[in-house]
Amino acid sequence: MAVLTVKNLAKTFNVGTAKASRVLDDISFDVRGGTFVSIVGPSGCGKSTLLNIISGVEEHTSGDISLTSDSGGPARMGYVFQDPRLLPWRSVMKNMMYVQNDRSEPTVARCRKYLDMVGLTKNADFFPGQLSGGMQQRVGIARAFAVEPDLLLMDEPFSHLDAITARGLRAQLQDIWAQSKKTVVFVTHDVVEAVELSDRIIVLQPGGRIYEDITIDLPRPRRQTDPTVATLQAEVLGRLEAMKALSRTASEVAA
Amino acid sequence: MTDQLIGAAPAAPPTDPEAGAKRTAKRRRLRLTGLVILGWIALYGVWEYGSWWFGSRLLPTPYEVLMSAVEIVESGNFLTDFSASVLKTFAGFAVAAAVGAPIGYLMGRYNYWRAFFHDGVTIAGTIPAIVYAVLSLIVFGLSNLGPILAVALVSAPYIALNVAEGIRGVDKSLVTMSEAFGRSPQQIRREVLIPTIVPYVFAAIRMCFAVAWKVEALTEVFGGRNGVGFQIRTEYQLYDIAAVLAWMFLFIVFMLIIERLVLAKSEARLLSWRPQERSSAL
Ligand SMILES: Nc1ncnc2c1ncn2[C@@H]1O[C@H](COP(=O)(O)OP(=O)(O)O)[C@@H](O)[C@H]1O
Ligand SMILES: [Mg+2]
Repeated sequence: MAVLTVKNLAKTFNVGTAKASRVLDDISFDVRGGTFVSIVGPSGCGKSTLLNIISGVEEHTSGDISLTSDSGGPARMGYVFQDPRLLPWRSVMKNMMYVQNDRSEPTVARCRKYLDMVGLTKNADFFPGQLSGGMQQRVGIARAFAVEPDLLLMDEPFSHLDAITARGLRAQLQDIWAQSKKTVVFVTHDVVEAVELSDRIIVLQPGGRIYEDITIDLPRPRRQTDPTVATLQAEVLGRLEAMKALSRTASEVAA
Repeated sequence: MTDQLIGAAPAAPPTDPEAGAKRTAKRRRLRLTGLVILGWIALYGVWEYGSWWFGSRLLPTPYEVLMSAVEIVESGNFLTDFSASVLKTFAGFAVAAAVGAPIGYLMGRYNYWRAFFHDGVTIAGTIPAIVYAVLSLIVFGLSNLGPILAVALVSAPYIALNVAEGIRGVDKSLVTMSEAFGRSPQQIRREVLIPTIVPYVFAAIRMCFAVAWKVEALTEVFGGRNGVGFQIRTEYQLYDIAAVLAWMFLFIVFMLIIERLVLAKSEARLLSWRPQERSSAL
């Protein structure tokens, strides 16, 4: 069953007084429950805007978005941002609890469980300022999983981290996802990362249209060292390069 | 995993040049302390000489003032009047916060209101405190409300400007995060907005307090019905200069204690979440 359905979505920003810029143009796709879908595209093509619209933080200009939830109530969403976005004046545990709808015993236990999964049980009472960037980002990930979202949105969560920390966190994310089987929409400009993590990759092109929809059918867990993973990564990267070349020629023709 | 606790890095073993530097620093500290003591002795000498020159009726000796201070404290008067003055100062703050904080909120939140209030608040903040003292006396005459009004008038502009600054310092990305997780506007106000502006308000209170208690006492001298300023006036009318000076010194000492210890401590407690500066470990 589709958890998220996006139909003919378009977004125009009104810049200044008159000039309007179209960021997303006629986007349609749906995401089945329990799958990990990546949205890949060069920077500035509207990936963050798309996530913000899905999460409801941003309005869309036209088209439809529908979300269904397991509970039948309003769909619950989790969001992992590029930066950790923790409240600096609250401890790690209180940051986890801040986004929860209740303070019941099971909720507290769930927060502890996810904090444990990212390896930060010992740091529950620390303030964010006492943690490294990588640890803060792990809190951000635990926080998003701990709301038990119907849909989990992630916007380039590893792009601000150094390569080694990022690799460790990707492995950790794979493990957590394998256990929780949440529905994830994951935005990145990094094709290699997308192939490692996803069941499916939606490629956005500059101008905000879907260029390609690729199914990644590789066994899990996937590791960087696996040659079949590397081969597929190279192939998808090749296709993206072709798209970039195409859009370059298009803009040259237009000029 | 490369990430580890900040500040958990092992301290470098002490080396010889470091120890040498420590010795030099210690010697410099000793020399400075010596100069401070010399300064006090010089002050004492000037005072003694002054009271010999003017006569101790005009300028009592340090010892007379000390005895007078002991008497004031022992009689219990100090506690009553000092707390009256402190209470009025804080009542003034409460009024200033009640008026200044909403104005600051509007100024920080909306550009229109900022345009409306900005010049007025800035001017109000520049007017000398003595003008407010006089104004309060004109409004309330001989009453306890005069000092409260004076403190409120002096403090409100600072509080407004600092709250505005605080609101403008709110991290938009935290607000977006809260919205993405479905937090209510009320939750966002309590968990994001208010914690952001608390340090700014505290800065305002500390800044104001230094001025406020002096204005408060000054207003009491002319129009108070109790408090330290009132006592100073009474003793002055009785021509007991030693008591005037004793009240003054006691007041200064205890206000400085409040300013340096009580306010600073509660600020540190409230802002304990701030990461410790790493250099302080050296
Ligand atoms: N609030 C906004 N107002 C005007 N333009 C915006 C706004 N937010 C984003 N944009 C524009 O929309 C485009 C897509 O932005 P974004 O979604 O952040 O791209 P991506 O996440 O793919 O890098 C960019 O050209 C950006 O300048
Ligand atoms: Mg982005």
